[in-house]
Amino acid sequence: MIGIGNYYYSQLPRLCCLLLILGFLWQPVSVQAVDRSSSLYAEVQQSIYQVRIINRKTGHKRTIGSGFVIERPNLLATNYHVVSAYINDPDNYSMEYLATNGATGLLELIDVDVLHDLAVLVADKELGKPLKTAALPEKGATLYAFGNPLGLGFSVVTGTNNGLLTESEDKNILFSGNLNSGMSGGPALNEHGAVVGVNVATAGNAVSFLVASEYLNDLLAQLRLTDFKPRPNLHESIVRQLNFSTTEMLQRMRSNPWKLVSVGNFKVPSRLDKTINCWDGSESNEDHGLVNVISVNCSNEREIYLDDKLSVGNMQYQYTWYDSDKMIPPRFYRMYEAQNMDETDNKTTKENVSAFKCSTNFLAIANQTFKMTICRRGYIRYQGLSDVLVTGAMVSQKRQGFLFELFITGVDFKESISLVKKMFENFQWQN
Amino acid sequence: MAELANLLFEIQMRPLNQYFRLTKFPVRIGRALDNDIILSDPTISPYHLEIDQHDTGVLLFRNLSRENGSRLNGKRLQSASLTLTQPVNLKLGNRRIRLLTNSMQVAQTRVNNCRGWSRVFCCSFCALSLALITILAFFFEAYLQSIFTKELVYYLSSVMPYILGMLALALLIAGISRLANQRWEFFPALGLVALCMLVPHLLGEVGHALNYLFTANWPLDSLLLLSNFLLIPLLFYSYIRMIHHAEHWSAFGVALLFSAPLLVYQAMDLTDQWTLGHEFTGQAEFNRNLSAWDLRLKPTLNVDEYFAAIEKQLGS
Repeated sequence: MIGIGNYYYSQLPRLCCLLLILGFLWQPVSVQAVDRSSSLYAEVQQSIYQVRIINRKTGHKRTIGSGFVIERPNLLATNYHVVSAYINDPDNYSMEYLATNGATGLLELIDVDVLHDLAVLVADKELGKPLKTAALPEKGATLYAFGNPLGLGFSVVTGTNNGLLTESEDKNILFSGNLNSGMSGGPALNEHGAVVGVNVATAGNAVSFLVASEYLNDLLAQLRLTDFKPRPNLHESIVRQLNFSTTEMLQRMRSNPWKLVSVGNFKVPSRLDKTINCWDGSESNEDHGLVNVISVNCSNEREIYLDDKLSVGNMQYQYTWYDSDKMIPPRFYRMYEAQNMDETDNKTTKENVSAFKCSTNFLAIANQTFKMTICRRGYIRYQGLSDVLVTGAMVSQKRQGFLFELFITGVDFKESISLVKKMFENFQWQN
Repeated sequence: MAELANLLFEIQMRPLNQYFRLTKFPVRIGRALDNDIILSDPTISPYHLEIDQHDTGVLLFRNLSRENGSRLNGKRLQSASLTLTQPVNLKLGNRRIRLLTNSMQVAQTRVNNCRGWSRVFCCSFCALSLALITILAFFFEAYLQSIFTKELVYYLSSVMPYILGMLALALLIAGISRLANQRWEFFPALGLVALCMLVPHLLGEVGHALNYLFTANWPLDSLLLLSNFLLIPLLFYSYIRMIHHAEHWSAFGVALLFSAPLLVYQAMDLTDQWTLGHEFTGQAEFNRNLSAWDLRLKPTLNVDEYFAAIEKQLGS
C-alpha cells in the first residue's frame, strides 16, 4: 500500500502509464455514473482545493495533496501525511491552497489525527461552501472521489464502496476506484454530494482506501469545544495519540482469547487479534533438502505514517520449525544457526531512533530451552515510544529447531513485554 | 702474526661462499682480467683494491677505485694498515668480503632441532599428515554446510580448490627456498601452508564454541584478530628459522617482510570494520550463535526470572 499524498515528479511517467491502462478498463463499467459525476463536479468544484507544502528556501512545492472545505467556510480537511513535512519542520515549510480558479493563499494548522491520517487547516479567507458528511452507504454504492491526481488538474474518479475493513487497525473504507498520488486528502462523496470518506491510499489496480468520515466528525467535534483554535503542543498531542493507540492495541491483544496452532512440535498462539493476518511461510522441500521447514508469519499490516522515513504501529511475528532425522547434530546446527543469523530488515535513521540495547538469556518455555534476546530502542522525537525486537531459538534439541521472532514499532516497552510474556506462557510442547 | 699461506680471501655469495688462498703479495683485486683476483661484480672497478703485506706481517690496504670506493670494517678506506687477529670485513662496491686465517673459528654446525610443533618443518610424514588433516577438515566443513544428500564427488570437488591452493603456495614457498638454499625442501613448505590454512579454521571453531559458552561475540572476534595479525608472521618466522637456519632477528625481519602485504591488507580491513562499526545501522547487535552441545555459563531461567532480568536491563 502506498500513500498518495507525496508525489514527486520523478514518478510521473510510471504513474501516467498506470493511469491510462486502467482508464480503458473501467470506462464502460461506469457509464451510468457519468451523468451524476459531471453534475456533482459542478456542485462541489468550489469546495475542493489543492494543498501544497512549500519549501520556504526555494518557494517551490515539495508535496501536493487535496483538501476540502468542511464545517466552516475557511476550514479545510486533508490527510495528515499531506502536511507532515510542515508539521515536522514548520520553520522550513509553509502550507498553501490552490483553488480550481488558480487563486492561492496561506494555510495554518489547527489539529491532526495521526492514527486516522487526518488534518484540519484554516485559510486566511473564506474558501467556499462547507461539504456535509454522511454515513457510509450500502456496499456496492457508487462513490465519487475528488482530487488533483499528479497535480494534473481537478478530477473526479468514480468507484464502488466495498465497505469498512473491520479486520484492520485502520478501519478504512475499501474503495474500488483508481486513486492516485496527489488525490490524498480529497473527499469521496456519495451521490448526494456528502463526504463519506477521505482519500488516503492505494494498493494499485483500483484497490484504494478512504478514511471513514466518522473520524473526521470526531476530530471536528473536539475542535468545536475550543472554537477551532490551533492546538497548542501539537507534538505532545501526537505522541499521546500514538501511545494511547498502540497501548490499546497491545492490551486488546493480551486480553483476547487466543487460538493455538501447531508449528512443528510446538503449539503457539497464531492470531492474537482479528487485526492480525497470518500467512503460511513454509518453503518447499526442494529448497531445504534434508530439512523440514514449517513457518507461520503474522502481521497487523499497519503503518501509522509519521513522515517519509518513519512510520510506527507495525507488529509482526514469525514462528519457524526445523527438523531433520537425516543430519548429524553439528550439520543440523550449521543450517539452524545460519537461519538464526538472518537479520530482519528494520532500517531507520539515527535522527529517529537510538541504537538497539539487547539482553540475551536462556529461558525455559514449555520444558524446552530457548536462547532468547530482547532488544529495545527508543524514539528520539516521540518520547516514550520504543521499537521492541524479540528473537529466540530453541537449543534443547539436537535435530529440531524452533525460531521465534517478533518486532513491534512505536509502542510502550512494558506493555509489549507483558504481551510477549503471555505469548511465551501459552507455548506448548507436544511430542 | 698471520702466515702467508694461512691467509684466506672470502667472497660472500649465496648459498656457498667462495675462497681464495692468498699465497703472494701484493694482491690486486678488480674487474679487469689482469688482476690477481677477478670479481665480475658490476659495482666493482676494473682495479679496485690492493693488499700488500709487510715483512712484519702487517697488512696494507690501498683503495684504487674512484667510483664506488671501498670500506674496511665499515670505515671508508683510502689506505690503511692492520694486523690480522680477527676477521676483517671489506666492502668493495656492493660486494662483501672477509679476510680470515686458517686458525679462525667457524660458526657451530646447526642441527635440525625438530621437537613438538616444529617437527612439521623437518618430518615429511608429519607435513603430509598435516596436509591430509587440513583437507579432511575442509571436506568435513563442506559436508556440514550442505543441507542436501550429495555424492562423495560433490564434497571432493568442493575441497579441490583448497588442495590446488595448498600445492601452489607450497611450490611457491619451496621454490623461493630453493633459490636461497640451492636444494628442494618441499615438505616443510607443504607443512607451513597446511598450518596457515588449518589453524584459522580451527581457531574459528574454538571461537564459535567460546562465543556460545560466554554468550558474547568477543571471543571469536579477538581470536580472529590475533590470528589475522600474528599467525602468518609467526609461522613464517619458525619456517625461516628451521629451514634457512637464519638468526633470530633476520628470521623475524624476513617473516615480517613476506607477511607485510597481508598485514597491511588486514589493517585496511580492520579500519574498514571500525569505521562501519561506528556508523548507525539500525541493526540489533547480539550473539546469534547456536550450538548443538549447548555448553554455556549462563543459567536457564524460568519465564518470571527471565522477564525480571529483562526489566532490570532494558526497563529504564
